[in-house]
Amino acid sequence: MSKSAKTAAAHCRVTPGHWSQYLEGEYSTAECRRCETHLRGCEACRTKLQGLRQVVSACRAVRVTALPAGMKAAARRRARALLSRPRP
Amino acid sequence: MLIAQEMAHSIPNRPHADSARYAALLAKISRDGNGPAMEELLTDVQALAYRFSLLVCGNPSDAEDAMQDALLQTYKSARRIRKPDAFRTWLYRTVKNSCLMSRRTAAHEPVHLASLDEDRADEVASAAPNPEEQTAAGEQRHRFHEAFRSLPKPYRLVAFLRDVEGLSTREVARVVGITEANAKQRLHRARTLLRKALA
Repeated sequence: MSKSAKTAAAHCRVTPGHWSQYLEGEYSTAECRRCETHLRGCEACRTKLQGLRQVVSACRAVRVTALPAGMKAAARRRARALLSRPRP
Repeated sequence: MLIAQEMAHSIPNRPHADSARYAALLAKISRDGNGPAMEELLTDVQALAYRFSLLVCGNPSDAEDAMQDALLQTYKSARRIRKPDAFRTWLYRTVKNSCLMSRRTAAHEPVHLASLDEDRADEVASAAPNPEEQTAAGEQRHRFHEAFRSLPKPYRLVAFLRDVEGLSTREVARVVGITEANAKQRLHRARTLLRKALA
């Protein structure tokens, strides 16, 4: 972030929570327009928003990649073993 | 124009893909009993327990116990729940309790549950980076996991349920037992902390 943007960031009253709500789609069309206008003039907020978006994307990716190879097969074997037991 | 493109911004809730999947599985389980649909569900719930152990409990070595407990709880109770939305909340609450219980068991009663089959504990990934994690993508993932685990627990739990698992904030609030406003507040805080940790 440039020095002028850092200075602007220090004065910008928009909180990261605001951008999180924006990402959640909680704002009306009119509010979104106001956000857009603000983003045009505030590098600090653009940086914050970009960072939040990257965080959410990284979280999403974890769901797909977290399970090590072999674990899913082991989980399936456990499920099969349990289902093949005679019910009491 | 760039900003205008960014306006297509909001995070679509993924839950609905899962809800449709659970609805189909529950319908099949209700019709066929312990058939392939139940096997699918029991496999899913263990994967979920693993992710929960890895990211929320921060101790993958507890994962095997949590996976087994989630498996057994789901097997015992899944057929009683008919509505997919209620089922999702129940499932996540069950996994949360299984994982937290497994931590308490590990801390106070060092009893290792017998495996249901010949799986060995060494199939559970250790917290140390494995060779795959030493690649660039693996390192990035490892860094993300570390950053995620560094979040205070209440924030970690909410970020896991919303941003990793794709529950709606209403569902998150139900699973955690807090208000929706509180869930949103924690989520915002978690994202901000993660952003700073990964910057």
